[in-house]
Amino acid sequence: MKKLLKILCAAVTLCVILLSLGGCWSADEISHKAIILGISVDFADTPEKYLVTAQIARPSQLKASSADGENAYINISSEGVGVQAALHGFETQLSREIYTGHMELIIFSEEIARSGLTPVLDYFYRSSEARFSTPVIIAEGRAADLLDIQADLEQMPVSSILGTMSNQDSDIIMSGTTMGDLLREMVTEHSAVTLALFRVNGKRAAMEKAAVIKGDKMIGSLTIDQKQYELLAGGEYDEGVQVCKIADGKVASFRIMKCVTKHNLKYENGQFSADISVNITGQISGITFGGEEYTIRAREDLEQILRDFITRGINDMFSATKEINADIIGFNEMLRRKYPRDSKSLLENWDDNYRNFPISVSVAATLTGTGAVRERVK
Amino acid sequence: MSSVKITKWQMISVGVCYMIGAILHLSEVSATAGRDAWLMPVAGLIMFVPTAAIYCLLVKLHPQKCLYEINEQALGKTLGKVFTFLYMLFFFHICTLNTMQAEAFVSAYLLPGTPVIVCGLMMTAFCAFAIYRGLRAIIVIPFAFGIVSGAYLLFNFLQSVPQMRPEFLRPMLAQEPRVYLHAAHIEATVIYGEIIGLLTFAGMLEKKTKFSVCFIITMIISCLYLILVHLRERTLLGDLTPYVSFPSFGAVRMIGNVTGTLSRVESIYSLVMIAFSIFRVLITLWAVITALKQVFNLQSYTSLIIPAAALAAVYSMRIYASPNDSYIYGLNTTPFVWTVFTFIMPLITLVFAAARRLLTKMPTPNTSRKLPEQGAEPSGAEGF
Amino acid sequence: MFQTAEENLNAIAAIFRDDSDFVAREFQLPSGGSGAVVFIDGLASPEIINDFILKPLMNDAPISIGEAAKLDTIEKAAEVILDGDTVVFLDGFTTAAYFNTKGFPSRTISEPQTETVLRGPREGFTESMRTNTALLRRKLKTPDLRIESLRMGKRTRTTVCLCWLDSIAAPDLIDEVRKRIDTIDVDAILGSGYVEEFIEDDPLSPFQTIGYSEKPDVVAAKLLEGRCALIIDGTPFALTMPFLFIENFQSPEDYSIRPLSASFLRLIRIISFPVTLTLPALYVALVNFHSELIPTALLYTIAAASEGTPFSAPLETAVMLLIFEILREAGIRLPKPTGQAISIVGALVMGQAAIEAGIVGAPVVIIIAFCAVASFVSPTVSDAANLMRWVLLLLGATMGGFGILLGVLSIYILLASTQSFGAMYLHPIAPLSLKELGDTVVRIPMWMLKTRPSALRPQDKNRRSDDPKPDFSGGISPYGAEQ
Repeated sequence: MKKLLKILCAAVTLCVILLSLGGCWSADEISHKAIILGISVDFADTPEKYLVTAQIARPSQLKASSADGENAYINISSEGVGVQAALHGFETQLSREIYTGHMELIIFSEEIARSGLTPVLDYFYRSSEARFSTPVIIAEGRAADLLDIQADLEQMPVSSILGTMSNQDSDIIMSGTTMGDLLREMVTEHSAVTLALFRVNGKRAAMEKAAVIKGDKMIGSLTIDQKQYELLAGGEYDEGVQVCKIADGKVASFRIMKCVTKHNLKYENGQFSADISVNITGQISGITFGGEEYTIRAREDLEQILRDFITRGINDMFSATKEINADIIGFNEMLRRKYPRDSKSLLENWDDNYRNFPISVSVAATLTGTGAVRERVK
Repeated sequence: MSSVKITKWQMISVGVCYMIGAILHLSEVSATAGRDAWLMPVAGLIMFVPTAAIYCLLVKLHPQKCLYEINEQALGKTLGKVFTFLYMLFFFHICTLNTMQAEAFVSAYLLPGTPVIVCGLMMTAFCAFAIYRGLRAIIVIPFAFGIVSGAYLLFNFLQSVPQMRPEFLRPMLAQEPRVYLHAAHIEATVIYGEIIGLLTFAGMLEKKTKFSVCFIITMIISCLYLILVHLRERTLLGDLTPYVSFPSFGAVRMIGNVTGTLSRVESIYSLVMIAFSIFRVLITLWAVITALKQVFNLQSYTSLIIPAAALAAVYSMRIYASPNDSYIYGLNTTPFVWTVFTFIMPLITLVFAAARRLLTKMPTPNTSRKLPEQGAEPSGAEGF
Repeated sequence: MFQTAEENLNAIAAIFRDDSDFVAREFQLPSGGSGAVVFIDGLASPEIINDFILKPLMNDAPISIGEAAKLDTIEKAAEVILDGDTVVFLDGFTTAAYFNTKGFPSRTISEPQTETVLRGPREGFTESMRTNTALLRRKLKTPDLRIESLRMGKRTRTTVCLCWLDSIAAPDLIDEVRKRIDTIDVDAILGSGYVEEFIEDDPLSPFQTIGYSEKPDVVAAKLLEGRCALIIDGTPFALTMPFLFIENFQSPEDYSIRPLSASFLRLIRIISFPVTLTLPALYVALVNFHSELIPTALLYTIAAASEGTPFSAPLETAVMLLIFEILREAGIRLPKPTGQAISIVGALVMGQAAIEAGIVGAPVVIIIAFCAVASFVSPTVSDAANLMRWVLLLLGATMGGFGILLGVLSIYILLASTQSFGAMYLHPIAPLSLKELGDTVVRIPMWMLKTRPSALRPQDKNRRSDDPKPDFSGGISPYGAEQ
């Protein structure tokens, strides 16, 4: 009995000590957290400093039945010599501790992107709270302005921007390069990646271009159309619309349902080259010309038009990327994988060699449907 | 030894769960072999074959005996106890190393504000409780828990399949041969070598079960699992793999939303990983305690549990200055030091055991043949 | 014993002194000499005594009562009349006789309150041991059923019947139960709980290792699996042992409904246990430590609900849990109509009022309410779950998911290392036995149940022969008998 009591006392003491040790150091009440939804980073007016702006949610306003969109969030800015210092500066302004675990968007200004992203990204990579799946975008002009736009259909600007990036038609253009994707490409030599480039027009923001990031610097941009062709050539195209202006007043639009891209790298007679074959399946979605020029037998002609447009578009895209020396498709990696030894010397100077790398494009298009009507209504 | 009997599948599940706990150690292999790390479990297994053969032979020559009893039977009482003591130090080192890795992981990702020693103490306290409740509880944990956790790991793997990019694995086998040799050596000694802990359970296996069968199945399942882990690492992280502290966990962090609602599922994955690491600490702590019991001829090990657990927790703070140091040692020094315990010492024991058998002309304990019927004439093959 | 009835009567009267229910009736025998009849009023049936003892004795006729025996000490006589028997002293004999004249009032057989079923037998045990053994005999009409009487309690001398099936139960199990009962040296045994605490394997464990039931069909089914039962006089709850953890999630109803439905319900019960155990702790851990796991929209809801509340999430949860425990206990203690009203008032009004006053957040109330409902799914394990819930809540509040992981693993170790009379408590989950999961985690059809649970080490392992499911196709057809 005594022994049992002794064991019991020892066990209880041990439990009390152990549970007291785990003393809620890491506990943080959710109502004491400032939930940051989006962060923008600009160069501050003060030299050598960054201006970090955070969009912080106000949950009680978000959930209130008569929520006024403007009050559902606050934007707050702070300057610091690094991102961490600037974030630390929030704590002198806020009544709550900042929480980046639900951060959904990171915005960098074009200026910062051109000067190099590594100094500003390093904090986010090392943080255990930040998510590798957070999209990163570039803002033309001030990044903080993007957090101030009018959110038409959403409660917060960040949600509005994210929605713009992921709605059906835009998904093909901006499959939201995430922080993890960006980091992966940054550590791969000679690789380039595109990030969505937003521009603020008054109180609204539009995604008009794609910023090309090589290493950790922005070296140029692609138009939306060029980005679309890049996706077609890279094999990442999902669904989308292709508008072909044949002549004045003559426009044919197609809905591309499926795209299969094959890359074939060749090494012949000491020369490397790449053949890209793009196989498209789509539907006719709109024709502006009609009459005898268009009958159902003109399907083959329309396929030819689509083929030509896409081939031309992809070639133009390659010209643009060669001009800024950005191997977005990743031919360097493909060559390294297929010809690890033979491609060594080529890849050592890939920055120069990419300009002259021969790429041939062949497109096959099949139109399976004409939409709801068979012929153009006269 | 103990009256507890372990079935074949219990032994295999203990071994497999023990090996799954190695996931936090895999960064050395990933860093060395790069994109071919997924082939290293196979290469390591091939390199491990002689060691595995030694273990199986030792158990075959000494059926129903655990590692420490084998030492004494083969090497004699004094030298056997010395070997047992050295194994005890080795298992203690592994225990504290695993504790250090697990508590560093918990501190980095789950409980950043909590002092690291608290995590270590809680883990070892749990291990002490489990050992106090007895071996039966320890043996039955892996099967049911392992099946549930294994199902979750498989589900987690399938979640990451859409984001995997197999092109990150190419070009294959394009590195220098010494890279593969180095990585295979790490795999064979640091990852697979720790399985010597399973020998401490060998004495409790049911008579009808062969240890070698259990061991081979354990190694094959573990190898397959390690291949899948390295595959996922590489196909998700690509060239980012060497930059990430815990690559297997870092790979899971790349997975985005699941079904559009659940995000950051790596927290659940991390808990499962910690559970397996705790199991590894548990087994090695048990090995330490039973080794001490054997060395000092104690009747029961109950009084050793709390001191050993406390020492393990405290020493885990001092074993290396930081997980980075452990990583560097793991790359260069540990594979050679551990070869002494995982290969050389068992080899010496085997040589002594074989020599003893030859010198004393002991009859072979042949458990595969049936015992002769009562009253029947003994067959000519028995005896010398 | 003395030679004369008067002396014996005086001796036994001296034991009972002035007890008002002690009745002694002297009479003269027609053949000469006197005699005396002693009994306890209220325990013995006056009709039986008058018609079958006194009347025959006074008319020199033999006594025609079925159960009778001799006794030779006054102390033994005192013991038997306290059981409801009647002792007859006659002049000239140094031995007396006692006859079974038990007629104490007892409750009629009714449906048990704690184990109601929709379809299945509704009989329940009563406080009379003999009625209970009779009910059991009616279920198991086999001479194999052994019912061994034992006495427990120095002052209560409670009769306890140990029941088992001779050809099924392991002999060492019966020996072990007998041995443990023999060690009981106590004043009183007033209920099954008393016996349970003396003979169970781990008295400090929150999980019961001895089962109980009020239904004879349940006890019979358990005996058929290889268990033994203890029927205790004065309580309608029979104890069964060994008791496995999985039995907490089995209901007698399972064998009255379709196998698929029964399997689904069993899975619901099994899932409810971890839900009720961990839900409050998980909520606190998610909210305080792992907010990243919560979907963003839900996070806003929880954050909005928590804003303005004065207490932290762990404290809120603990307070609501305490209120729930108080309400539950009040609901049990109060009479039925009032009890239900209290529960409804407590749950709805207080919860709603607390939310509107901003004292607690709505998510906490929902969590606790769901946790409470889940705990009622398996009432036998709810007591243990209620206790463990607090421990896990503490661990979750201090160390988040890591603490809950350690807590859950510790509970698992506790369960896995517990034994119940030689059977591993978590069988067939740990050690895992896949073929026996068919009658534990799910309910396979009767014709697939071949073996008894191996954890009980029954002597006869098979419930039935090896014949497969009977195939009735080709028998009766919709078109009538063939010409």
